[in-house]
Amino acid sequence: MKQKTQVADIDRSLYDFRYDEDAADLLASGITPEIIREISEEKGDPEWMRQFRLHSLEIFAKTEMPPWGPPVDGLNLDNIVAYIRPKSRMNTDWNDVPENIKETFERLGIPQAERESLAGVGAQYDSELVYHNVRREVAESGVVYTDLESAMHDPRFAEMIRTHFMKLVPPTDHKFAALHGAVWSGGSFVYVPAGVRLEIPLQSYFRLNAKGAGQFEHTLIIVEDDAYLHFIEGCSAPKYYEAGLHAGCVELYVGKRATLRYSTIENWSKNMYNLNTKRAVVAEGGRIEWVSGSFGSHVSYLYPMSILNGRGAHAEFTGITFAGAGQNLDTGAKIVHNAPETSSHIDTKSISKSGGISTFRSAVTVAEQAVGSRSSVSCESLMLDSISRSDTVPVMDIRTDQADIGHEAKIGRISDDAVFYLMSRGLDEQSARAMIVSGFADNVSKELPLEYAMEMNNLIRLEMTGSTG
Amino acid sequence: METKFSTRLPVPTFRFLGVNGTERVLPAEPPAPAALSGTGIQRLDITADAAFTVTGGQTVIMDIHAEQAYLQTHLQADANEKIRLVQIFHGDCVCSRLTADLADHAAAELVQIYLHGTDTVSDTEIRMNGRKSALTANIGYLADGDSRLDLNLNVIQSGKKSVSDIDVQGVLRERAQKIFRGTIDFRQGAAGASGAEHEDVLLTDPEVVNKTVPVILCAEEDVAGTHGATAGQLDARVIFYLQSRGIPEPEIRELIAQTKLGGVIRQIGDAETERAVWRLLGREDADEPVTEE
Repeated sequence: MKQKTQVADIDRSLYDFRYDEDAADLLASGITPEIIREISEEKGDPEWMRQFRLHSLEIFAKTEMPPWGPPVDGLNLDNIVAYIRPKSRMNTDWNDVPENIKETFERLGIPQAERESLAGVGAQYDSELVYHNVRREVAESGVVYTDLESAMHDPRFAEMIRTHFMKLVPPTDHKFAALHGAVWSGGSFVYVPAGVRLEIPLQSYFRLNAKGAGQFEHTLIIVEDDAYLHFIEGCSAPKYYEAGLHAGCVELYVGKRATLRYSTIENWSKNMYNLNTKRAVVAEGGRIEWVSGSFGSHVSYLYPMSILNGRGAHAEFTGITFAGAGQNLDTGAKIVHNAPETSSHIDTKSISKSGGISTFRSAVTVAEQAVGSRSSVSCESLMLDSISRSDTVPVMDIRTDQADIGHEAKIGRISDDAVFYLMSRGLDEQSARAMIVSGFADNVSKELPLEYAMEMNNLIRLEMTGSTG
Repeated sequence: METKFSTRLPVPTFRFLGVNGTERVLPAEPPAPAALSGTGIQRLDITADAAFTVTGGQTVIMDIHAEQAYLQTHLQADANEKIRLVQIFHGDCVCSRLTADLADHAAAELVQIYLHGTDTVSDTEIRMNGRKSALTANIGYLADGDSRLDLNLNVIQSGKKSVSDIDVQGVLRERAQKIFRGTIDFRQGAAGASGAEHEDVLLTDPEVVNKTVPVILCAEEDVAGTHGATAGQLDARVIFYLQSRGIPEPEIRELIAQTKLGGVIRQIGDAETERAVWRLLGREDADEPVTEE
């Protein structure tokens, strides 16, 4: 008789440590005009931003919850603390970061990664950036990597931010975009001048330590013509019983013939609602490459969107979603072909186990003027037991005859033949299954820098076997 | 009395795409279903509101050329029974609802062809509750002019080792607009089930609108499901080759469109009906035998 391999849930001790809140400013919970004004005052917003926040709040109040996607009933916005400033201002010297925050990021391996493989790093703790640094030679090439708020007050960038901030994701986009517009805090601003190719990545790491809190960082990246950037985003939080909320926003502007690779390993704790919005607009001949691993959170709504506005622009989305016990992860991508000869490719894998729900959701739209465009979508789902769920909901909307669009989806289980073959080579069944799942996620791991691919493979191994072997 | 007719995607998605469902208002209440009796091929000419129940062992061919009509059809295949239903839609403003229940080892063969209708909404739900129940669906459409074609197919597989195979071939011309929502829903307990769906659409004019929503829902580990969809233009190399053989381009376009639907038409399995469909497609040689009688 066939017996199922028993697989343990992930050992999250690497991410689940936490410190008592030691915040300088912790505003009352709830989302009200008074709280918005307090946030604005605390941050010294220019008048246009203060007005923008209040206007966004009005939109938030009028906008309904999305009528599709996983339930968000467990999220009581009246209980969410929108702003927590840690007892530290932004530092550029690691030694100046308070001890408990420093220890948090050291345990997560951020300073080590900075030394070994990054061109610059930013670390956000709760609502504020606590550390930002960029290598001298990178800064000398004209690359700007700083926190968004400093940039907003810097006369060199103030106008640039005003003309780009929430223009790609307006507060009217959906309820949580409006919420973000009202309470956003922290996040990064990156500017890569024309022709500059940054061969080693920049990274921002977001850590939410406080319980019952929200994190609303805003990332704004402008990559000018013929430039190249790889940006890595990581996020985690310790587990609490209270629901936490992450409603960040990422806006990416990719210039002519420029390339931006945006990689994310998302590993929020399983009490988090991850309602994040990411969007890129790509000019003529430019490329946006999304690499996305979704492992954490209780509920996720995450569909990075690429708007291909220039002739010959290209978008790629490579993603993996691993939904375990108690998780309902609704992920995917949106592509808008808005110009002739644009192309896109979506390649996703999802794994469901121990009652986890994974949904792949996508939209590929091809406008009338996007003649000669091509798109292919491939999604594969793996079900590891029959108490889990895996859904695939792709949509193609094509409004020209001059386009070639393809979609393929596959759902299934681990092949007994493959397990048998690996066992005949000396592996036990558990290891064989773990190896097959790691191989299944190969599309993402081969797109990540080695250190991150190893971290991702370890996460998968932990989910599958309960050990890193 | 007016009645609402609506279709819906089993799992709603982004609202801006406008694919979550369709609503129409029917001028009258649907009639009570009539049970069809007898075996062998039954041909029904449908020109007004109608409702039927088709039972095991029957082959029914419906020629639907009504205007402003509602058609309701239910297929009831009990254990080991087989049903074959052919529906040819070429009317205007037709709303159709087709449901089916398939018991153990029951099989349904469905052929649906949609030609030229100005506003057709078709909602099909196949419930495969029976162990080793089987569905084969061949769907073809040619929408042209200002046609609006809205197709919703939901195949629910809860029977162990149930098998579904859905093939959709379509051509969109001029200003035609089409939505095809095809869902395979593997319910918990459907161990050993498999489902495959493929849609292939040929777009021949710049103003067409094609929306495709191929959904797989899965709550069972031991299943195999696949979906494929392609949408695109005429292959320039094929056009060039046929032109080099002396065929003018408009004729080539017609030929390729007919070829695309030919595979579905051949599944009708009734020569008289096949000839009628070819005639609707403008084939002057349609009186030549197509399928052996």
